[in-house]
Amino acid sequence: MTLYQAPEGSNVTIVKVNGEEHNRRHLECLGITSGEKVQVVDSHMGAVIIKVKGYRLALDHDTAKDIEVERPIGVTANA
Amino acid sequence: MPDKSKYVFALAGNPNCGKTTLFNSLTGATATVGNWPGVTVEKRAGTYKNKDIGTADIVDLPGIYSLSPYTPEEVVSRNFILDEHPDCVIDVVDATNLERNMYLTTQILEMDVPVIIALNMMDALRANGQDIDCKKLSERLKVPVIPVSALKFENLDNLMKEAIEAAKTPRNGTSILLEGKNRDVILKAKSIYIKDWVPNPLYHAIKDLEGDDIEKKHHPFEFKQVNVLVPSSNGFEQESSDQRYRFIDTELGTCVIGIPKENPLKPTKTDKADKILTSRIWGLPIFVVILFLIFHITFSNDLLFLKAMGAFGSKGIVSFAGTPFEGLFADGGIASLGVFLSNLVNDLTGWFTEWLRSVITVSWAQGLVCDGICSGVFAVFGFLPQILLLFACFSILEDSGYMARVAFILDRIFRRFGLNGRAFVPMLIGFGCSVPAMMNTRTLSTEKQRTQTIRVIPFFPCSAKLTMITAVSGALCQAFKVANVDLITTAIYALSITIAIVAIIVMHATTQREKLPPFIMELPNYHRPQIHSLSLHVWDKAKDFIKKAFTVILLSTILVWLFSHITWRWTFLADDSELSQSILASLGMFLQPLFTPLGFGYQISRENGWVFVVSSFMALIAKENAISTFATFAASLGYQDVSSVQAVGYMIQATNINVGGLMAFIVFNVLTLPCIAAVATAKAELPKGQLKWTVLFWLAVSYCLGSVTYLVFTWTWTLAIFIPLIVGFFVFLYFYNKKKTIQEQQVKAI
Repeated sequence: MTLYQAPEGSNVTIVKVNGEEHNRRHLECLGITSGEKVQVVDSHMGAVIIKVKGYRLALDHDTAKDIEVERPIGVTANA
Repeated sequence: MPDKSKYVFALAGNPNCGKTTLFNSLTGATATVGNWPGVTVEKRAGTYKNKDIGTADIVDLPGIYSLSPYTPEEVVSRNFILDEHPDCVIDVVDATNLERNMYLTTQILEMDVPVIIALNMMDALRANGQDIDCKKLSERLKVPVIPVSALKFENLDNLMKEAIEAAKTPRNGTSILLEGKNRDVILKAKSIYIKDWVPNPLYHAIKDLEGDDIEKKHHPFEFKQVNVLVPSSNGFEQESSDQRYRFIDTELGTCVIGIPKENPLKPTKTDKADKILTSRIWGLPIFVVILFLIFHITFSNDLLFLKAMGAFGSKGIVSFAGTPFEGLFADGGIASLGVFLSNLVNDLTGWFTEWLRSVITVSWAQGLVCDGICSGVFAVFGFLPQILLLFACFSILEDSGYMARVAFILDRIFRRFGLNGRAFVPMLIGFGCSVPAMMNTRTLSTEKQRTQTIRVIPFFPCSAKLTMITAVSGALCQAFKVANVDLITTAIYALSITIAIVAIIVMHATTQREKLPPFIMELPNYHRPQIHSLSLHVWDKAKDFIKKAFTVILLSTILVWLFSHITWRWTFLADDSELSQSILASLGMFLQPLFTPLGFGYQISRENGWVFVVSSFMALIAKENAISTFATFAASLGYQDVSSVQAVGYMIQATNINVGGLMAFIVFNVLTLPCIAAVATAKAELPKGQLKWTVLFWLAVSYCLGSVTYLVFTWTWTLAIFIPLIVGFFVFLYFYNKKKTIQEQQVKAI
């Protein structure tokens, strides 16, 4: 699953960041690294607002598609 | 290091960490604003003075998240610390968010420069029942940590004292990465840099291992050696960032004492506000309403529509008719703040001009000073309150954190069409005034985005152009009994917005090609804007604008006045009604045939037709001058004291211009060169060398579209030519873009 698909309100863990090296590193500096837990605050038309490291970050839909996430273990798919 | 009489300190920190507030609190009104060389990134510098502590020049580095080379802001900050050797770097850290702020800190500490940490917003953290063990933090990072509150001026002198103390002893860079498994690799790489006498060896070694583009370029020799020594540099970068975050989590996390009063999972005020302000349904309408309100308090003659509703009867309660203050308050209603201030400035400058007129008795000197210099420069001054008010309103929106949300909702909508949502904010400001709109483009991330946006901003009809549109279309409707003013005005707005969007799409596909930069933006907590910072900011812009008014604007108004008041035989025309004998008029006559495709050239009266050309010239000083030129000329034809609609009406009678010509006149003037104040702003904001292309672009677009307007209105069948041409152009553009994209991908693959 990517951040693009993650439902609003869900808590997810970042698995991998794809896309251009340039963007990937920039996101890293902002705290978007694998293993990081984020909360999807808002998701509409693929553009998302997430809470990461205690602050809000807005991402466009293409960037959201580049970020692979998974639900934390122990949470069922329809939770 | 001995005591210095004056130190140079750099303020570094994340965006929204309160760095600018700290800078303002430390330097007060001494700050000067300029640009970093070569980039449109604002550079602020100021001086801290305290006779017990010392004096220091303080440079406010732009807000950054790291010292990697991904944004111009990061490069500027990095170069300043490495090349300009500040005596100390004051790293401003938001105490309420160590998690992210400390990432930058771990990088700054790698440089060989004294560093102290200013823990800002400690008051907010303490209010939430938490605290930070500064001593422990300081021991762990091996640099002084000073808790401050920039907003409340708390502990600032102590901060400066510590900074001066720290500046006295040189410091060698340290890295938390040396505590991990890459220690040997880093030390080896460092030794290569030490061997070559490169300053800041530790910092360069680590950036080199991280595969940093700038290192590759600036230290190719060492870069190669490091690659030979440590061939598996791949993965180092990711590992190092993980290690930094882990260090912050495990080591620095323990310095935070206490449990937050507020449950961190509970929605904060900002969360609640965002639910509405970024909502898919309400987000956009709320922004439109806010935009309308801002324009309303800046430009409206009739605040809250009290006059339109007849709240005060026909006379109104604040009429000052017959006093020197006549017109200061709009009669019959209440003038908005912007209009009131603008009227006030106009009254004051008007009185001053009249006083000058009574003092100077020589006719030509009186004309030059009063009508040339004063009326020209003061006409621009008259806008100043409105420009600044508009600027202040948008600064408030920016500072409060709302603008980041607006950018996000606009981007969400427009990115699908290949447009950058952030760029829409300056464009919308353009409906008010192009000058603050162009200043706002600084928030855009790339130079090409800025260039594109600045070029289309004048297409959004500003408030001054609106007066021209309504006057000309009003006269047009009266004279030809067609359509109505609202319809024409709406059509012109729709046309200009369409042209702006199309122009961006075309530029994006051709001369300003680049991949749309991704939208990655922090949405800071909403907070109350600070009057102190705001007033400093507005004052800076005012100074800037006044400087422009007395250079570029002054010069051009003098020229225009001179040309409109002397004849080719150097005789002075004292009376405005003799305009037709001036150099400007003959230039107008000379250029008139050039406007034949636009319908106000060769085909209209040779005797009077030049007035349309001249009025387009006069509009360069201020767009409403287009109409006042008509009024002046109407006076010379014997029609005194006419309204703006009447003035245009007489011009129609005098010249036999047709509907197409008038429509073309509006289209041309809306799209062509903006006023001189806006051109001067564009010059300052555009990348070097782009101004001439931009001017050419404005002229070409307005001339071509003016022609099309005239031809279509006069001979409707010409649509049969233009529609296929336009369709053909877009088909061509589509294939051109496709071909280019394939080429670019091939280049990348290689």
